Amino acid sequence: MSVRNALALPILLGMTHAVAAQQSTPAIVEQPRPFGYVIGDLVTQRVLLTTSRRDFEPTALPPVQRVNIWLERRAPRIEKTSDGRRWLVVDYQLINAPQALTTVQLPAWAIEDKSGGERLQIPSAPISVAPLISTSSGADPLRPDREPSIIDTAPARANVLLWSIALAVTLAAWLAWLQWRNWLDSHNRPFARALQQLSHVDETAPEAWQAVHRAFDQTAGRVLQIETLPALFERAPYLQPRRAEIERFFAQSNERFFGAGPSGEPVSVRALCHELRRIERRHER
Amino acid sequence: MASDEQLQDWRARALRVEEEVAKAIVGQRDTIRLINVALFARGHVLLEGDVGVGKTTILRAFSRAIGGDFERVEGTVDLMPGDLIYHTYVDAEGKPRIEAGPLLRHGERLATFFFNEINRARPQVQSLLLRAMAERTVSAFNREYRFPHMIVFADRNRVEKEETFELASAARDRFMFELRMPTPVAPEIRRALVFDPAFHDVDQLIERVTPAILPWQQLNEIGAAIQRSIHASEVLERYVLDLWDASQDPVRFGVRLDGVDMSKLILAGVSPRGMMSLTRAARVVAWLAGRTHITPADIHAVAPWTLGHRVFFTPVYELRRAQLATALIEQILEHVPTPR
Repeated sequence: MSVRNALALPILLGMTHAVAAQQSTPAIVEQPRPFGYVIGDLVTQRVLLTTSRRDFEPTALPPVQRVNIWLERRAPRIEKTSDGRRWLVVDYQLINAPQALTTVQLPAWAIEDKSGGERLQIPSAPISVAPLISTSSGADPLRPDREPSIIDTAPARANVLLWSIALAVTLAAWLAWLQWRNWLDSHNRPFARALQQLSHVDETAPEAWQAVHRAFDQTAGRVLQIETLPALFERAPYLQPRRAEIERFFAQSNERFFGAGPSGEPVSVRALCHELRRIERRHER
Repeated sequence: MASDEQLQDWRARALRVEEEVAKAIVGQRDTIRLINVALFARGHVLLEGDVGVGKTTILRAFSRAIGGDFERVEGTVDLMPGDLIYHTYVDAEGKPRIEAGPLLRHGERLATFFFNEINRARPQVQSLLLRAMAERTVSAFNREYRFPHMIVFADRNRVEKEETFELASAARDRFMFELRMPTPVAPEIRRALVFDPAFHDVDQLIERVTPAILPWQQLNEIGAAIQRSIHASEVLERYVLDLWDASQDPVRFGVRLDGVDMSKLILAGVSPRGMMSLTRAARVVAWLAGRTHITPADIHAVAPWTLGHRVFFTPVYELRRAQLATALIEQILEHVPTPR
């Protein structure tokens, strides 16, 4: 044998081997149940990747796509069973509904091994698909909705009503109490009380002047004299704008109760009290 | 009877006494005013304070300004009542002699009797003084001696308690005022007292005061004229009576003191003599202010000093007297309403 022949043999052998590797092998496929499908069902095809010789490593998995008018392929996956065998699991979803019972073909397809030596051929498989409803005459195209069962809501409504009334009564009572307390508080304020007392007596009467004195005392938290008036403005600085009138009242009161009697135009205690009540109320807010 | 003009004239003199005394004593305007008030209200004064604040100096200055005869006694533990009445000694010829003691020596000319450190004297001496203060008479040598113009100024320091005899409540009640003389706090006064040599020589200091500004023989008469001429309104009378009630039952007027069981505080309220002193002193304050009527402010000006030492506390609170009495009178003045 010549050298060239000696070289040609391995090449030939290699080529033979390559041709053998390119050979399609019918795959071991667990085809889906061939009947009883309706629109929306999933049809699962399982392809055994583990052969007796070696593990099949697909170069690419079949793409996610609509394969025909009936079916759409979902993302395939590789599962390993407990006996160590690997399966390529491909799901198709039935996306169309036939008018009558129809046979639909799962398409045939193939995958290649990464080493390029083997190609698994998956044959097509027929499945029968049925419509969801009968289209034969006489049958109702749609059944009416089922009547919902009536639940007795009366006790619940009565409960809600009862608690709502209770809540409303509580809120109303609380608001009323708040209002009453504010009213009471406001009417117990020193100058408010003095005004009430003034309404029963003449404003020039000693009682009227004494009532205003008590209001000043209460505001200052101590008994006030003209000399201790700064204590009032320290405690109630909001009365400061009326300082002149207040000092005039105290000076006249001193003359009236302890001295020779009032001199000059007497202070209107009612007007003073009204004004101080107004300031007092504004300060409360 | 003194006319209004006379009263005005006397008022000017009274204010001058204050000015004169203030030449010798700095930083004690309030104390000077109160002693002056006591002088014209014809009341005795007990002065209390720390050691060396000028208690003796202020009383000496007043004695000089008032005029009349002045006598001074130092309270000591061995001083006996007889020592105030008579004095025994052996004269140059070797004969025993008995002479009138400091209290009798001046007779009716005695205007100021100054008892220094009164709480060092024994209770026997204090009792003698009580009679002299209350009645302005003393019995001795089988007759009665009268000192109608005498005013007693006494002082005591509140620091020392050893070898002292606390004044009985009856004795304290005889004093119109129990004044507390504070140590000056103003920095410029403190500096002057320490560094100005003028304040170091007390005798020279006293000499600054013009002597005998007041015709002392007329002080009783003018004091009575002041009491007659200064008017107390019905409302003020009610106020003073309320204050009296409040000193007996402070709770009724809403008076509260922190940490004190008010129902157990008061043993006895202010005595009638105490309330008398209060209005007498208030009248003088009004007179000095140029008014013809008393106002509550006049009462307030003297109440702490006339009432404070006259309220009697139960033993459990008596030890805290200094602190409680001041707070109680302050609270009473803040809580008793007027005009009512």
